[in-house]
Amino acid sequence: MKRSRTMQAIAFEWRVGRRRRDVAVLLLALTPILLARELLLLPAPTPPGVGPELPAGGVDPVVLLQRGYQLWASVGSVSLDAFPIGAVCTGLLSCWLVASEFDTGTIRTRLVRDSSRPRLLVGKAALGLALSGLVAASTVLVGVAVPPAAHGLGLLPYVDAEAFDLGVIGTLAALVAVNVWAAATGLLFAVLVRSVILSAASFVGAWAVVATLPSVGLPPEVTRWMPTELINALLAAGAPAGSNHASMSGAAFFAPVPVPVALATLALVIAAEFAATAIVFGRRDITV
Amino acid sequence: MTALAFDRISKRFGMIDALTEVSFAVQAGSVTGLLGLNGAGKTTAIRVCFGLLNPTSGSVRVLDGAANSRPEPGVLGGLVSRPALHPHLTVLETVAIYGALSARGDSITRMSDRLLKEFGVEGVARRRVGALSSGMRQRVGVAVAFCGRPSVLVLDEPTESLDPEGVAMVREAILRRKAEGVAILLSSHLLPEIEALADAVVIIHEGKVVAEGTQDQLRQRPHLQVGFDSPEAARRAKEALNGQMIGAESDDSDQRLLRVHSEDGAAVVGLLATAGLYPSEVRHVRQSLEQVFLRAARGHR
Repeated sequence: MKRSRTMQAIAFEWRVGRRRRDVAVLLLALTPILLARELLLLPAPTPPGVGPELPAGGVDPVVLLQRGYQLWASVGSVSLDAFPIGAVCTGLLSCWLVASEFDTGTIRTRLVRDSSRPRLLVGKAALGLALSGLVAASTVLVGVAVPPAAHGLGLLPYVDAEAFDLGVIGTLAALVAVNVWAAATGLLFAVLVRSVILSAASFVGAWAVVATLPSVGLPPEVTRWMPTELINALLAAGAPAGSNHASMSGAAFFAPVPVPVALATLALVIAAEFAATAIVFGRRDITV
Repeated sequence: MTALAFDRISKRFGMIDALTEVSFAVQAGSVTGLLGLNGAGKTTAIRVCFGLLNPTSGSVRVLDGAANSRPEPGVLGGLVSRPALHPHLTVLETVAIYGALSARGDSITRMSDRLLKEFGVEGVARRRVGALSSGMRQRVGVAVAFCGRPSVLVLDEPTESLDPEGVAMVREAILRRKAEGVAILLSSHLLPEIEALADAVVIIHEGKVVAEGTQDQLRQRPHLQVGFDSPEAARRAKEALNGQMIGAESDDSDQRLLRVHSEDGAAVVGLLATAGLYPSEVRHVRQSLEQVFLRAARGHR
C-alpha cells in the first residue's frame, strides 16, 4: 500500500535518526549514568535541616525543592527521581535533532527533496517524541532498579502525600506532559536560534528558570496559571489538588488547581509552543 | 512547454536587493544556463525556486502549479550549493532514503542502483558519506539531486570539485534527462560547460537579468573588430568612440585591435575619419559565450 507523504516524511526522519551515532551514544549512556547517580549521589537518607521546624500537617513538595531538599517521589515502589533529568535529556535531544540540521546544512538537502515544511516538522516531532519515549523508558528502568527503598526511605512524613498524589494514571500523564513540554521547548529554541550550542544553552537556561524561578511572592491567582509552577509541581510528582498546602510562612503557594486543570494549562503552553515553532519555521528563510 | 517560470521575482535582505524583478523561463526538454559573477544572485534565485527563501515579491511557477505553490515531492529536484549530506549514513542509504522521500512510482532499490552506477559511486555504496572525499561526496550529492525522476531539475554548480570523469558523467546525465523531456536549469561558473550543454542562457548581474536568449541570439549581437597600424592609434580611436558614447574595448591579446559595440561599420569608420583615424580592418565577429558574459556583466557595472 502506498504511504502518505506525511508517513514518508516520518519514515525519513526515523531512518536518518536511528543511525545517528551521537543520539545512540546518548541513549545508551543515559541508563548507566542515571543508575550511577542513584546509587552514588543520592544515598543521604535525610535532607539537611528536615525536622521539627516543618509543620506536621504537610508541606508542598515544590517548597521543599526550592529549599534544596530532595524528594523521593514515587508511584508504588518505582522511584520518579530520574524523570526530571530524563525531561532535560528530551529537551536537549529535541534541540540537537533539529538545530544540527541547520549547523550541517542537511535541512537544505531535505527541503529540496520535499519542500513541505509542515511535513518536515511533523517528522521531526514524531522522532523527538519517539526518542523521548526511550528516555522515559530509561528513567523508569532506573526507577524500578533503584526504588526509594534502596535508599532506606519511605515517603517522608512531613510531605503531604495525599494532597499531591496523582495516582498511577495521573502521574503518567504528568510525566508525558512534562516530557512533551521539554520536547516542544527544545524544538522552539532550535528553530529560533538554529544552532546546537545556542539552542541547548537556551533550553538549559529555560529549564533553570522553570526549576528555580521564585514565584512565591506572587498571589496564587497568578501563580496558578504559570507553567513554571505547574511543571515544577508535576516534576515533584504532584500537582496540588483540592486545597492549598500549608507552608512554613503560612502563605499559600498554590491556588486550588485540580490536576486536570494543571495538565490542561500545560497542554495549552505546549500547543502555543508548537504553534510558534510552526510559524517561525514556516516563514523564515533557510539560508544555510 | 514552460516547465519553470520566474515572474518578476525580487528578494531583499535588509537593505540589500539580492534580486530585482527577475523573470525568465525554462522549457521542458531543454537546458537553460544561469550565469553570473560571484554574488550576482544565482544561488538566491535557485533558493527561491526551491522555497528555501520567500520572495519579497513575484512568483515562481513549476509546471502547471499555482504561483509560489510547493510542488509535490519528486517533481522538482536538484542541488543547491555544495551537497550537505548526513555523514553517518552510507552512500546507498543516502540515495535510498532521499529516493523514498520523493519516489514517483519507481522501485527504490532499482533507482538507487541505477543512480549509483550513473555517477560512479557503486564501489563506495557501503561506505559512510562522512568518510568520502569531497569529490565523491559531490557525486553522491548529484545522485541525490537526480533521485525520483524529477520533471524539473535545478542544479547549482553540479560539477564543482569533480574530476574529469565525474564532470563527464554529470554532463551525460544532464543530456539524458534533457532527451527524456526534463527541464533543466544549470548554474555554473564554467562557461565551456554551459556552452556545451545549454540551449538558452540567462545572465544575472547584481540581481538583475542583463541578457537572455539562446546561445545563437546572444552571440550574434552587434560586435565589430576594428584594427589599426599601431597601439597608439587604437588607443586614440577608443577615446574618440567612447567620447561619442560608443563602447569600445582594447583586445587583451593585441593592443592594435578594438572591440566596438556597434553593428554599423560605416558609421564607426566615418566617425573615426572625422578624428583623423583610419582603421586597417573592420569586420563583424561572432562572440564567444565568455565575451557575451563579460560584456553583459561589465556593461552594467
